[in-house]
Amino acid sequence: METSKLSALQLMLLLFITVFTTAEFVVPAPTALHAGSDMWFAPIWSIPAGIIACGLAYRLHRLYPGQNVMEFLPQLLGKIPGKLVGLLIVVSNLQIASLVLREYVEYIMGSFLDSTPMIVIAATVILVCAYAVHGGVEVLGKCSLIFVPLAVITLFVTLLFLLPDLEVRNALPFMENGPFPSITGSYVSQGWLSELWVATFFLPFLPARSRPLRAMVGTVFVTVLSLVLINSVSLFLFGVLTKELNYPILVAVRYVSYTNFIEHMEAAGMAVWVLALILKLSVFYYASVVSTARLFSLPNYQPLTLPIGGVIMTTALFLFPNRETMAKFLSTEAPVIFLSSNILLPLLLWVIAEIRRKPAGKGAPSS
Amino acid sequence: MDATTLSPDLSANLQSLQPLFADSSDVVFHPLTIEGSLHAELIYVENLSNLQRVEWGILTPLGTMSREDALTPGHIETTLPVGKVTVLCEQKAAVQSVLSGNPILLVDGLSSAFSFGLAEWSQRAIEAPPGENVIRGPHEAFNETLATNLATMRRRVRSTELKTPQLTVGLVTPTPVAIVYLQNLARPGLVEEVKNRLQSVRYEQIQESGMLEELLQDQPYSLFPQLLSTERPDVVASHLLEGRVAIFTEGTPFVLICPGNFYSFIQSPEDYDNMFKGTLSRWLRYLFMIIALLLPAAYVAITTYHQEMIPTVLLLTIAKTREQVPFPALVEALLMELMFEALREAGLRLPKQVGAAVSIVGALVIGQAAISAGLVTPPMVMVVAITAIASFMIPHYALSIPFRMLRFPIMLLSGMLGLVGLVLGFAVIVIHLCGMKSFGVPYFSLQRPQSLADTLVRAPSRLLSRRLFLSARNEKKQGQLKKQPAAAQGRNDHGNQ
Amino acid sequence: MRAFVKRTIALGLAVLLAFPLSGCWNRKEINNIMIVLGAGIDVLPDGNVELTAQFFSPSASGGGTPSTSSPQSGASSSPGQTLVQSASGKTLAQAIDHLQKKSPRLLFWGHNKILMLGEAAAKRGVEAETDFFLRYSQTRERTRVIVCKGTAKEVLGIPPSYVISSVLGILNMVEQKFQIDRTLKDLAEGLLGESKAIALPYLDVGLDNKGKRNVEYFQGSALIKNGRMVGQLGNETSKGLLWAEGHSRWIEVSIEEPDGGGSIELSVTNSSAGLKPRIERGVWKFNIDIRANLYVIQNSTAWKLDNPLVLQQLERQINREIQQQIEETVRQLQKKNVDAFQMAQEFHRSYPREWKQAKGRWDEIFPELEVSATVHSRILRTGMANRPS
Repeated sequence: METSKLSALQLMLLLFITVFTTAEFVVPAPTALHAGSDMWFAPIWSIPAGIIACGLAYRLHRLYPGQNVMEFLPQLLGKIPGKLVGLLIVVSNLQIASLVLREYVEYIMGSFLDSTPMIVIAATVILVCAYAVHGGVEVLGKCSLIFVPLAVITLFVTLLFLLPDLEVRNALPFMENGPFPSITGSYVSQGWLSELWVATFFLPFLPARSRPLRAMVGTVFVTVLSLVLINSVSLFLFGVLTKELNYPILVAVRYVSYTNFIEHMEAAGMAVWVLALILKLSVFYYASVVSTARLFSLPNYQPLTLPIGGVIMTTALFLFPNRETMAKFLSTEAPVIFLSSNILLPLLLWVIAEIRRKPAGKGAPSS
Repeated sequence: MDATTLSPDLSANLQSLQPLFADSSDVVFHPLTIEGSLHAELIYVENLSNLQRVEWGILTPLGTMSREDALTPGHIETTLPVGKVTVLCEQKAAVQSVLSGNPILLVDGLSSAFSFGLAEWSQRAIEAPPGENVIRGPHEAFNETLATNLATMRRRVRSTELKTPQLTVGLVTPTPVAIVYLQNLARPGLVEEVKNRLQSVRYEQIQESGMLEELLQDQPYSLFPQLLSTERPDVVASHLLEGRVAIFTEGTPFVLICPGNFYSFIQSPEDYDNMFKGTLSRWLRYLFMIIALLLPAAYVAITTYHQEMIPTVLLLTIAKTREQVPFPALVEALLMELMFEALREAGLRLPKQVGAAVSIVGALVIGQAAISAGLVTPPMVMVVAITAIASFMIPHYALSIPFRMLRFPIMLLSGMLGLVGLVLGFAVIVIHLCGMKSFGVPYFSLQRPQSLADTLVRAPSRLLSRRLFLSARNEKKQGQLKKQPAAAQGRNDHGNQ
Repeated sequence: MRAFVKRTIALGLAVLLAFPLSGCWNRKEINNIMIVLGAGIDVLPDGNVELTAQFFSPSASGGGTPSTSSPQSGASSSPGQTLVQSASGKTLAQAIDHLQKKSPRLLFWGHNKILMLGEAAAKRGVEAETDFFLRYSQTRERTRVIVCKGTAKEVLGIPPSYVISSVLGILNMVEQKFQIDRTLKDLAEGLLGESKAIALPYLDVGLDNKGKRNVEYFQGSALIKNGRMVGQLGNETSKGLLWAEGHSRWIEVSIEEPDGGGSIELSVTNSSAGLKPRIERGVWKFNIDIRANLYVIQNSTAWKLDNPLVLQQLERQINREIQQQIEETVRQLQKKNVDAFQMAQEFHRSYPREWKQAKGRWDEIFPELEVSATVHSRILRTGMANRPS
């Protein structure tokens, strides 16, 4: 029998899809707004954010092996502060999960099912994710082996058909106004890359002797590369039009027309994207459930699955009055929230952990 | 019936045995005397034993045996010209022996009974498996007799590692069941687990291994089969070599193989002749599996929600044909699919020659008539036909059932939510499969990346020969564990337990 | 286990029963939609927008009723199975609303291939309509945009002779690149781009042999600047545009014998164009570099084409000819001050600093640009015959 429930490859795929699924929709437009023709390489500036998030998760995992963040919080901070920070983490996960759910609802409603009540769209997908979360990390890992390659290959093959329509010269002029437009443009993608911090919930399940740091850093690069690709395609296809479109990548997929037969593929593309989104939502759903269970010191997280699902669903429905508010939130306030909960907070935790480690000596297990 | 020991007194034994077989006209109690004075009784079931051998092997020698010889312990069983003689001390075992076709000899003065392995009855000849035909490959299948099946197995795997312990299952119809495995390859603990599960079966009758299968499964409520059932000895042999365990049941040619793995249901022995043929067949199968599950739902989703996906000219054609049809696409699809399932079921009941013709002709004619009546559209009939063909492509019948059944919920979902519904349904199925475990082994995943060589494609034989064993996480460790020689190899390979 | 099963069943039933209660919301049955194949926009004298839509009409011709002798031939479609309907309103969105209210079924824009702008509507301005088509989710960004002579209503209403819908016929012509090919996305980009100008193909209708006015053909291009049509280029003068985009398959190149006589007709297999802006000593220049491959389709001169020297000479003449075609186009464009080549964008890309300073003065700079064309042509083949030998 396997002793580990998750392999390094599965972790990589899960993390990648966690960031990429919604990033491919949300990142191009604000990046175009700030960076203009430099938007294609702007995501590269977010590599540090990703590496820091991964590194922190890894480091804390090494300091407290076999435990996710909720579990070592009391050890690290003491019982009461531990619970308080734990509450913060729970809320953060719930928020991200409802955000993802709301994004899903908006995209699906915006593209096809516009007359279907929001609650139906939300409920159906939450139920599917509940089933996955109920199955646990193993199920998530195995599903990622199937869904992620499917989604990624479909997307990139579709984009391949756009090659005749791409105009690479749209990337010029290069750094017209210096590096700052692209750096400001990368603001959103940095927020998204920091979501890699959620790895802290999955690292304990890796085989005991593995060294996941390399895999995680690899994930950061692969994700950034994919975002670069997405941005490039948007830019090369739409040029100055990019910033006027809400979701350039969606319009790009709609634009594909190859030999008059492979066209109008956005429904199929979206359908496959839904698979990826199920994974992302399940990841944060799982993190929410597990962290809530830990907060209340429950032995088993499974009974909480459906109730937390309900919480996520209702939160998502009441989060924003309309899509524009959500879009604005995603491009302005969301990255700050992500960065603070996924990087600042872990950074603080790590600093405290390091401080506590030194004087204690034999206190915490050696790294 | 109490498991009392047999007494040296013949009449006492007979007194307890005869009431058990009263009114059983086929059970014969044949009294004989040895050397004129020693009484003995031969109990057997007519037509379950080879009477001729009984006469030559038992009656004739006993007729000339002397009394002291007969009473000498160890004499009868070694001098009688019968190949297999077992000495039994318990009444229950004796009764079971009689009922299994092995005659019992009770001798006055000996507190044991002799069971002679002369069971023979008319059985179905070894013929080609009706359900798992291949073009190139052995045409041998198992039949309903456990002993014959074990022999067939033994011919295929001529190794001392092949172990075949037996036990009986079933409260009212104690059915012999044999667990077959290769001792050096079977995953440790698996055999124990199988034995435990079999022994905890509290069912009255086991007529078919299907019942056993249901009782041995990890997830009884899942549509997907978790044990592979097959009639082919070559399939069983190859699975044994992968470290799995086979369960043979008396009375049915279907052998259960556990733990089942999703991909084993998709492999067919024919894949192994030629690597190109194998790879191509496999890809075709995967494609058509997806089609069998998703095509009607995709058709419904696209024509109802995503008409922009259909190429314009095709859409115009479909629009024309849909003008006369009163039902929405979903209803039409459900109707046609139900019709087809009904035809399929009906076709099974008909005698062979008529059945095939009726199914095919029936489908075509009904489809055509439905089109003319304006009930369905031609594209729908095409879709149903392709789906049907696709579902026949799954080599093992057991796996085609969940696909056929799951079509309908996915159709409903996609009729409600379009392609999103289809994807959600698909995701649920995948999640379910990913979470399934059969006997503790993950059902859906490959054991190792190298297994891709045998599932995704059919790699050249040279690459396949390094067999990946189910249990071997670390092949060295595996070797060490099994180095202990199986010293418990007694004379009785089919040790009754 | 029992309780778990019960709960699961209860949950499943609840979910299952909830769905049919409200029905399926977004369902569009195929026979409940009207498939819009082409849309046209005109402007009425009172300033209202008139929308004309060409729908597919499934029961317009044969195959309507199932015949008893042969199985229903639902697959065959015959020409002219379309229905044209118009409606007007103050804005395009209102016009669409009125059109929907006149239609027995839901309008379905997913297969709209062509957006036709009547000349008057194009002159009035296209920004508002472009916004609608980009914003609405059902319409597609790959819809071709065409300006037509007269009103779109009239052009869309012409019954075709052998295609199912005239829109499909026009689409085919566009895809063949008889003239320039512009999609909605191109139009939007052009409206936003640095040069604020773009050329759109121009459609005219002619007579067929029977005297009926039902032959659509492309006649040059319409020039759009700042969202309005400001001019037109004829077929000959539009060739430069085609050269610049590399869609030169249908450009006729003809070299005439100087003293009367015949001419050599060539056909272009493919070509590529490089647009290079240059600023030399404060002078803004633009060079269009063309590489073309041609082959001879007709020779009515006395020149012997099997002689490589003759071919070389011919190539030089071709270069001149193409150069003239391009320069003529540019001249016309400069005269009308419409930067249909998107030269402004090229300057921005290659000379960002100079562009930043000169941005506001592009309207003055463009007519004074020194535009030159360098052509390298190659005659690949001279065909099957070899006259005169």
